[in-house]
Amino acid sequence: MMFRFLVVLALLMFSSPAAWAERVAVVVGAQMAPYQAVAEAFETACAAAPTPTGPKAIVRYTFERFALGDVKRESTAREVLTKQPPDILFAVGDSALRFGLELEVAPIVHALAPSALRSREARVPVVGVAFPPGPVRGLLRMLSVVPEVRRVGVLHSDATAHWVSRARAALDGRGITLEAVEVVSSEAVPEALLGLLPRIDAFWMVPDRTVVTPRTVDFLLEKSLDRGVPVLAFAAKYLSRGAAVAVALDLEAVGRQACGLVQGLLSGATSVPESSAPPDLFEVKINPNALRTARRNRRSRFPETFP
Amino acid sequence: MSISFRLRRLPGSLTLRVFGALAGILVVFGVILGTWSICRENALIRSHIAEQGHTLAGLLADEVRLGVYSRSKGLLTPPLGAVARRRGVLGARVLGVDGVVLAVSGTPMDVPIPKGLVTLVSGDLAPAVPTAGRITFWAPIETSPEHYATADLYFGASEPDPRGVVVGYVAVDLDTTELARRRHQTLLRDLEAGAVFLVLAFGCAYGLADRALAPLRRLADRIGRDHPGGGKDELGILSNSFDHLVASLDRSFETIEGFNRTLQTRVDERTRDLARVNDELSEARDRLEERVRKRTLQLEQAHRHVLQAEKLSTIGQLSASIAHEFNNPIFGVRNVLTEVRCVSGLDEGLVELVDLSLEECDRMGRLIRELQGFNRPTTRQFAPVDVNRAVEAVLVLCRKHLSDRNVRVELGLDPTLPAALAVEDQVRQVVLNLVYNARNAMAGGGVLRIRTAGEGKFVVLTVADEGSGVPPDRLETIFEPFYTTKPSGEGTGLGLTVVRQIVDAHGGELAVRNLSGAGAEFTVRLPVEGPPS
Repeated sequence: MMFRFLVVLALLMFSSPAAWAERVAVVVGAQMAPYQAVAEAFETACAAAPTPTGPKAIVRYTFERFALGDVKRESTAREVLTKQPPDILFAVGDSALRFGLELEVAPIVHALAPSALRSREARVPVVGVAFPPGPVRGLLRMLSVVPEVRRVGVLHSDATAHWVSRARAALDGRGITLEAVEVVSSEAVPEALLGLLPRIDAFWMVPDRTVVTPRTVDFLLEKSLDRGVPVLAFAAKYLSRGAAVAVALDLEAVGRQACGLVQGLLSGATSVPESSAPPDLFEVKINPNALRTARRNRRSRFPETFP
Repeated sequence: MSISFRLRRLPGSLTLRVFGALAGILVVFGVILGTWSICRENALIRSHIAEQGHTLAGLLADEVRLGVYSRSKGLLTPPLGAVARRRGVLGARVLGVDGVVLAVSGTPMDVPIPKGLVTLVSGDLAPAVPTAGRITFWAPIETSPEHYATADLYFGASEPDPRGVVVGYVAVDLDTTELARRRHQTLLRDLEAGAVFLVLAFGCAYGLADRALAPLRRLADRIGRDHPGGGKDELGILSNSFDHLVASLDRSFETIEGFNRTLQTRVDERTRDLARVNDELSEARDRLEERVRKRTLQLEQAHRHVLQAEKLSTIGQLSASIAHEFNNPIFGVRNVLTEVRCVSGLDEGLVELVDLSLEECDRMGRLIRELQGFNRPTTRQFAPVDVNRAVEAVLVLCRKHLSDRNVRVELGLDPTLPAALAVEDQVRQVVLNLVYNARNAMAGGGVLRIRTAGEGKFVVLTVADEGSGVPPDRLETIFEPFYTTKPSGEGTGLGLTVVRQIVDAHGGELAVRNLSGAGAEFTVRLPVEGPPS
């Protein structure tokens, strides 16, 4: 009798299709709509996703969401995740990624985390959706809607110099010149911009925290528009403030891609993909009024440019 | 209308007074309105100046924020120059947070930064710093946090609060001469407008007063002609006229009051007359009702008596019929008794009984004949009638009835009584009725006295009883029909009436008197020669 019981138990464990639940902790860095959208898209995608190991395996995901933002929430999340480590930690935003790296209780999949490139030294596997999704790719998509631009200007700091070099290489092949000015502090931004604007047809605003600050952002947008230089921005939030063109992230695609990375981790993947954003991860949006204004202002300043 | 009359009626002093009052009101109103307008204009000017100053200072602070932050003269100079070139602006300065002047434009005064400078409220000049000929408006230069958080760089829905650190100050000097000039202009303008307004208003007021009072003036003129010697103005004339009117009304009221009193007196008299007539009518009505009631009672009695008379007539007829029927057997019995009497050898006692029986038969026969005679309609034939014999015949009929009542009869018949020319059955009727009346008056018995006597040309029959007598108030009416003291159904109340009728028909006299002791006496006087023709 005991022997038969053991045989049956072994068969059940090893021969029948595997069925288990993956506990996923979804940590959101702040109570922001884009973060929530990505988290929900991730959960939806995972719930509908096929099994990572074949039709014989049945994987169910259980999600537990944590929202950071203040000390109390963070301590609560820390306590829960430490006591019951999840199987996967999905971090949305830089602060969530930082939180996950501090805990190191589970493999981490991240999204919307610009500082992810500096997390290579983690002791747990870390994969994620590259963010921002290819600034150079975004620039090229934005330039496609303003074909009259032949000279692009950019202000950058040392932190974003690598994007500038990639962009220059990409633009050279298209016959577009890139005028880059490096600034060492945000105080130098106004002077640098004033010196740059007469030499360019469009201003590429990169996500550089030295260049784009609360004190300089309005100056960048208003002065550029006033001088007839359309601003090509890295986020849709600047369209309403005067940017002419911007890239908008497809948040649902990010969530789905993050789910794919989770499945990859479960199947054993540990590499950190670079530029893993598929072509349809973002779209280009236009502020037609700003674009019209920029063109009108430019025509009045440089009539010879518009025969 | 004469000229003097017109002169006395110049655009009346009332019109001038009204105009004066209106003008005074207009002046007061104009002064108040003008003062208010000037004050309001001044307040608006001050508010405008303050708003201009604060706005310029605020705009300049916004414009030079980045220049102050980046210490860039190229960013400071253009906005300063634009502000300084504005009309009314004497100069502008930009200072660092330590008070060091970073840029200057125009000719600003070196006014120190006010202590505790906060965001100034537009429209309020008080926090501004006035000096000789100028007002300096201050504004702090505030800036935002230095860097975005990573999430805000991409997704922040709202910008960080710009009111963060103060990095410097701006000062804008406005020329107050502009303020004074505009005040002066406003004052002159308001005074001119006020003067024009007053002139127009005075004209309108005079016209209005004149037109409004024109009907009053016409009325006063009209009244003034009827009642000259009134006041100097319309009010005086109207007042005088009003006094006359009041006096007339008083007299009219007095007259009306007099008429009213007279009318009231007449009304009172008529009312009394009507009341008296009403009372008389009421009394007449009451009397009429009483007479109607009496007549009704009499008619009811007459009806009852008629019914009784019919009943008695029927009974009489019946009794006559019965009497007739009894007559034959009695005649037969008498014959038998006569035959028996003629039988010889009868005992004396039997003979006496037979004789007695024969007397009774004779009596019954007389009764029957008398009864038939009373019920036989009167013959109305006047013939000499022996009244004594009529009395005796009646007494034969009434003997039983009288004995039943314990009534004893005392006769006092005059044997020498002459015969009276009369209807015999009616004379018997008279005797019968008087005898029955006397019997009925003596319910407990008594003596019935019947006398006859001859008095000249009259035969006098007297019937007296010992009853209760006739009530004194009924002596006159005892012979009226249906008067009876007997209960209903026991008499017709016509007996004495019949006696009266028969006596009157014979030309006789009938009288009744109460006797001193008790009872009543009836006296019948029949003429011997019959009724007069």
